[in-house]
Amino acid sequence: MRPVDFASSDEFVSLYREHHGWLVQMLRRRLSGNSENAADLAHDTFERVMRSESRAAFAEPRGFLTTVAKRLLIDQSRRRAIEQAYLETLAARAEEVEPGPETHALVVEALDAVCRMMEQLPPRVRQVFVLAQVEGLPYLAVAERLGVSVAAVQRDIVKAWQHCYAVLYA
Amino acid sequence: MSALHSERLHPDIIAQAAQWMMRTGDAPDAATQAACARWREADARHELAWQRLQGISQDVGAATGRNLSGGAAGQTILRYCEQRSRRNAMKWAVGAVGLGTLGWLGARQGLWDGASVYRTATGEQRQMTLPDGTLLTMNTGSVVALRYDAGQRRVELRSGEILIATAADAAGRPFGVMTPNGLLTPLGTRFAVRQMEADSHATHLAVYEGAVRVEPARAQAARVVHAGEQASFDAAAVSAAMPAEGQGPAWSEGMLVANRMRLDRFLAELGRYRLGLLRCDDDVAAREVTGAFRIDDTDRALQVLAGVLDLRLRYRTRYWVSVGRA
Repeated sequence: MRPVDFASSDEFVSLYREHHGWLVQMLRRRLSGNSENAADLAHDTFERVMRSESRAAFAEPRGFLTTVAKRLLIDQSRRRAIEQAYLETLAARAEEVEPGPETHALVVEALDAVCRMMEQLPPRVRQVFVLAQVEGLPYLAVAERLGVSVAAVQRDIVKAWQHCYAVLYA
Repeated sequence: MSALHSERLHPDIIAQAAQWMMRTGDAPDAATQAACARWREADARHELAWQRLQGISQDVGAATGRNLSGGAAGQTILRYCEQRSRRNAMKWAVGAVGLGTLGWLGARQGLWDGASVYRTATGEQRQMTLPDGTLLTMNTGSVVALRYDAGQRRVELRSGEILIATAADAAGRPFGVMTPNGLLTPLGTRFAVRQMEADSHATHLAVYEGAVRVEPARAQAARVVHAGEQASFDAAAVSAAMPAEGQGPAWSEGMLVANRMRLDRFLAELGRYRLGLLRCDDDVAAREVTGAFRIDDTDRALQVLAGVLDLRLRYRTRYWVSVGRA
């Protein structure tokens, strides 16, 4: 039998030849002229296509490449916003020591993974979850801090776990 | 993420798992812990939901530590999320949800959170960047222990299968993979290691870049396996090297590739990625399978297989499938 869903390398090369040019142009416009970053993101976009076993890139190349590239742009801008929030937090907390450059990247990466799951939660649920799971407070202390009942804290925690699950596995 | 996202669980099970996460999340007593354990054991789907939430919990835990206090991590997350909702920029989420085909690529990629033992559930894959930049990918149903200290970088493969792409260590610490059968020392490289469970208990090694030195626990001499080669070893000896094709194992691309593989062996391989029983009737066991199949959707792989080889799939339940003559 023929392998299922494999893209041949010839197909990939012609996809690249035909579409690389406009994709870089589009990204450069969105990045207000930053050519180097645009070229990197275009490269990442094609890498995703190459690693994907999906045929969608070949059936609908413009739509598919645009969607993937936009998602990479969003990832990048979220990463920067998180880094910014992190630096602001450190500045506001005099006792925190700014870690070295390689640790810095790891911290931002780890925070990014959590922020992805948290950003669409209702604010109260998010606050409860972060106080309990990230800061490690007992439910009673969370309830006192936010002036709600322990039962409400427990309901919010359950909601947050369900939401995190949906973000990753829905 | 990887995870292989094919296994859809009923919302009721996820709700129950979330309840148990909550109940065990704040100083649970012994009775609560025992009740949670009973719930997990009652059904394989309970355990899968639980393992997935545990994986998420590890990711959340990874936000602290590494010089960052819980308070600073929590503040950063809340600060970012509040700024974001002020900008009200949630349009993109719709696009991301529509991209189901890419979902598995981003699956459970993350960073080492400092814990020492990692597990993947059946059908789950996980990729981690270790502190030295080494990339560790775990295949389905695997357990590894990490020992990184001042003198060494060591990955202990207890069961299952991993792919490793090593990075040079600034501190010059030696890197090694320990299996029940011996020690593997890579020489700047990318390689996959699988610890077999059934019959042989051998360790299987495939090298894609560079070379790997194999030292069986009870052998006198070490052997080097080079790029493009694969070999098996037990505690006493290393087999002759066979050619290994490709840039990496097919599973790391989400595929199971068979080249004239016996059907019973093929089903055993596919069964590693799905919960429950996958049986092969004796009278079709010797049929040959050739092709590439997606491991994130094993039901579909079975359908394709049945169509091509003219076989019949008998589903007693979703988790008990027999493959036989049409």
